Amino acid sequence: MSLKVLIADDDEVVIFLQKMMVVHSGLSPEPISFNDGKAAIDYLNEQYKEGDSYLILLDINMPVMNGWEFLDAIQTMPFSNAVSVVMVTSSIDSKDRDKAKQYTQVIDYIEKPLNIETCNRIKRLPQIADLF
Amino acid sequence: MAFSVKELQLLIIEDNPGDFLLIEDYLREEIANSVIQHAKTFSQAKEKLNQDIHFDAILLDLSLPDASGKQLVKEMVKLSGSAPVIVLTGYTDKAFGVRTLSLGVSDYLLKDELNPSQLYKSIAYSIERKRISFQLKESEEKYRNLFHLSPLPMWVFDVETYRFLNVNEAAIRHYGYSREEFLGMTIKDIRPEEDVGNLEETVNSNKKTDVFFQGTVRHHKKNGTLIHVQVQSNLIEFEGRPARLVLATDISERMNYIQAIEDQNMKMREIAWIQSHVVRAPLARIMTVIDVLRNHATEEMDTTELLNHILSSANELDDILREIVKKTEEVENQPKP
Repeated sequence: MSLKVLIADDDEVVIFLQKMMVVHSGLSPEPISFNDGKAAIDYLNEQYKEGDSYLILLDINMPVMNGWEFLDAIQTMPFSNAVSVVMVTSSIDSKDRDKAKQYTQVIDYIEKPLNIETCNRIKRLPQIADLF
Repeated sequence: MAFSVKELQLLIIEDNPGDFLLIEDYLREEIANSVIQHAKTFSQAKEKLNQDIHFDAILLDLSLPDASGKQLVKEMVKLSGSAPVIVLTGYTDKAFGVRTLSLGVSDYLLKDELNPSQLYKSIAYSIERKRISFQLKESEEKYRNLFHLSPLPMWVFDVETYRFLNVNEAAIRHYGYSREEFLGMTIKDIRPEEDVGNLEETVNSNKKTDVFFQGTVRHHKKNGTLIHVQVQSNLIEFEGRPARLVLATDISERMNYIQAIEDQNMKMREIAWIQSHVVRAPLARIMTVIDVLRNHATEEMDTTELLNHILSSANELDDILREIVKKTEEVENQPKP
């Protein structure tokens, strides 16, 4: 059983840099990236099998389907319990942080930039620590 | 009494020379400094009263060559203004003398029983009575003016029938209805239909218990304009009926100001949002690239590409800041309402 790491962000440079951090920190050797929430849901719908676990680094502001819409959409989906979400956003608005707490899937909230230290912190989060 | 120092202007209307002399004597005896004018007929009296002399009291004989009786009394009371009229009658006219009191005269005296002190007392009392009733009238007038000349719309309505019982000038001006139109309407007629239920509830619940009410409601003017009004009202008795006296202040303009301020706040919030969300995106990117260059640089890394990312992010940041300045200027330059 292993943890698949997904990155959802509409900024290619951010994806490139976050992938580098995720790999360097050992969070995942092969993170998979998407440019919006909808693409991530399509992937999960297709790939999810019983017993899989996913960690999603989720941006808030994205076109097509933003981070909040993504969280709302997965609530009724078969993989809703297999998904842990870390919000990775440039927003420093406390309202966004409070809103994120209302979703059971959200296990952490990180203000960009993501760096090695924050990736290591994610690895130690109790909800997913067993998977490393 | 105060009369002894003040000069009294008296008018005696008497056609009988003997009676006049007698009265004059009595007066001189009791009131040292009185100025006595004499009229022998009603038309002479009328002339004197039209001369702009202020009389303190008028003594009137009931049978004059050119007028007498009830008609004479009525005319004299009308002409006398603020001066009390004291009627002088003979025994035969005693019953009529009593009746003249209801026509507005201050006192009646029987000529045959007349004496100086009685005459003096009657004049003194009459002047004082007239002064008090004049003051009362004046104070009533003052209160009426307070209502009618108030710069703020006011009205009185019946709490049972909701009918307008009285409206002031300001209400007529502000709402566009004439007094007659108002008095033919109920207060429901100036409310939007959907507010009438609420109105009935409020009026009902305040009918007895609540003496003072204050609230903000909506009214229609005659021309259909909807206005926001702050009303204050209290329970009064108006012509024997329970009623409320209402003071209405149009606060529509104030509400418009508040709306304008809220619009501006909205724009300011928008700017704050941009700062929080949009500015931080390229900034976070620059921070990450610097972190990579500093801590995770490898041989095969394309540093030129990373530096280009910094530059493009910096340019993006520059554009965003210009946008913020532009929006702030828009808020500042907004026309004041």
